[in-house]
Amino acid sequence: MWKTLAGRRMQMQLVLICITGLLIAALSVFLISDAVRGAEQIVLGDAVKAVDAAVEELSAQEADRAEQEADWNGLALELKDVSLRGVSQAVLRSYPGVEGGYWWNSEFLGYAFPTHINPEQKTDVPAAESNEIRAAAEESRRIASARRIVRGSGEAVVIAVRYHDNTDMAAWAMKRVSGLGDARQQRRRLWLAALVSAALLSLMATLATAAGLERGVSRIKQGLAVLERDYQHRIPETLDELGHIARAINQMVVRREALEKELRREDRLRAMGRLVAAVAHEVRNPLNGMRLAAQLLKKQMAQDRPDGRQLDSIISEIDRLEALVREFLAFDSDRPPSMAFQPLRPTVARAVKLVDSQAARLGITITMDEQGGEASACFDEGHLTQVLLNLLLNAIESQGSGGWVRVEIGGGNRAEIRVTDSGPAIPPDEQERLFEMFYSNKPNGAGLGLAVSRELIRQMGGDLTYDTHQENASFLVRMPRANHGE
Amino acid sequence: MKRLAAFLVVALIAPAFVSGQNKGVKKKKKEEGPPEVRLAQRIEKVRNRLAEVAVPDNAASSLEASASQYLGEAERRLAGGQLPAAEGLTQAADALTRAVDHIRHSRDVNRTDYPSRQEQAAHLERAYFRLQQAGYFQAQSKDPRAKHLVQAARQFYQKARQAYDRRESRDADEFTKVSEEIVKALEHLAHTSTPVREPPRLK
Repeated sequence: MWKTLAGRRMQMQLVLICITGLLIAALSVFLISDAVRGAEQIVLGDAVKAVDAAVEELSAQEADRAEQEADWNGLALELKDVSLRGVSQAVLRSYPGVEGGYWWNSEFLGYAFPTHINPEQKTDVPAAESNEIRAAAEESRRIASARRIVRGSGEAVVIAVRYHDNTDMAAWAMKRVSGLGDARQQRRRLWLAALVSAALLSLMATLATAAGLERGVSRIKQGLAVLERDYQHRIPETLDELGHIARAINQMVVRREALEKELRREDRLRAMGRLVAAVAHEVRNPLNGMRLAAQLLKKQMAQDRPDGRQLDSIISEIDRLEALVREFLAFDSDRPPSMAFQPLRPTVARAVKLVDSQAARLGITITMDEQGGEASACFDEGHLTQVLLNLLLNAIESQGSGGWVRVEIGGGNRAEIRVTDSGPAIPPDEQERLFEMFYSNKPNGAGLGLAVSRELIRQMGGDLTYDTHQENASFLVRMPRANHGE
Repeated sequence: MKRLAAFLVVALIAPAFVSGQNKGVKKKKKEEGPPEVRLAQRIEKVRNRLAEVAVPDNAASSLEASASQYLGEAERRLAGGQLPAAEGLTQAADALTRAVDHIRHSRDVNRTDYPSRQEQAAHLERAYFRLQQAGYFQAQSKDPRAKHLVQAARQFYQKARQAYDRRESRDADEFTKVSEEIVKALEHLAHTSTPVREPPRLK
């Protein structure tokens, strides 16, 4: 189950991003509503403080008047109202947005709202709140002071009342706070905040996903670049969707390796087939010789004059056949190269000997030359023989009848074997494709020989190239002097 | 009406005779008679005191003039049966008379019993608060003549404040009281223009 989930990492990532986005949107809603509530509390708190301070001052000023003036309590109601309005006007001028007055003997007295936009118009207690004020004033008679917060749609009204025992007068103050808890506006704000949060989150998630894709694609590109040089390299197979691609590429590489192995084997079979055709004549010669010697010996034995030289001839021809068989067995397919540091000349000579009779039939002369002393290198005898056979047979087959093939052994830091024939140089447009798989300029050619030959030489640490500086077709095999891998 | 006139005559003459006899003796007389009579007596008392406290000072003269005006109007209102208005005007004149008296006291260099500096500060604060109401009272009085009283109250408050800063306790105390009395006068004038439901009279 874990592997299944891991294989769908990007899908899971997107699902998680969506869930996280929703959670963050919800969190934003809560945080913003909390902040709004907090802001409301602060605004209400300020209003409460202002109203409390105003009502304290109103009460104190009225008490001071009562104390200073002996006839204060005896004033007629209307006159007291005028005097108290003067007090309210003076007190509430310092409290913006606060209106207030007094409650005495079940009457509202001294109402004022001096900080109103049109204070002249505000002469009466607000009808909507008068009951609340009245109730708070009655409550304050029992507990000295009372406060109420009345909430409406989008606003709140803070009312405070302070009762003065000595004068039996209750001072009251009130302030409206608007812009609070308007449910529709609040919902709109919350939705907007949630949408903004979700949009930001989506943008971040998209960027993160794009970065992840970029990294994954870059990893695959680097892996492919290495694969071009080294077929043993494998692209790291991550657990996400890009890992599937990497796994597919690695499987393709494995199949290609197997295919190339098969192709090399086929190439060896084809080379062997060509060799079989070439050496079939070689086998016929010793067989004919053996037959002739056996017939002669039979005649001599009938005449009671056996000649031992006939048996020597037969044994010699058998040895010759045995050598031919040994050469065939050198084409052991699918075995890893068995490297050994050894002179090149014997292996080259053996390959030349295998194709010599075929070349002779076509009138082609094969010469072998070694310069600069004995050249040695580290190589697998069988694989090098296969490559040389391939080059020699190509040289022979490309000339028809007549001509020559020259094999030169030499080299400096590296041991070299050059195979040149008397045919013209290969055209430049064909040179580029010489070592491509399945490319051939022969009607019945499979196009595997040179590609496989180069691969075999490279496995031994050397290289097979076409020499473009020669007038004739010339292939160069370079082999390392030291053991491959040392 | 005749009855009223008769009582007025008695009310005006008697106190003048008595005051001449009892000069210098502060004695609170028990008010007698119906409200109109008592008011008439009070008007006279205020007038007499106004004459006593006259001060050769421009500001004081202005206040004196206003007080006389309001006393005259009080008498007219009383004669017209507007008792509440007459009372208000009388009280306004009385307050202005006290204001003039305080101006006079500010020149009394023998006085030494002044409140402490802290008490003066508290007094100034109260006076300042009362001053904030002067404009309202004047507007309520609907009396354009009273506008100069608002200005006068402010000027005397400023003088009191400056005297306080100079540590001149006598002037600080007296001028504060002048300012308060002027505002009180304005308040009474505001009362004058306020209709009051008179309680039913017992017959």
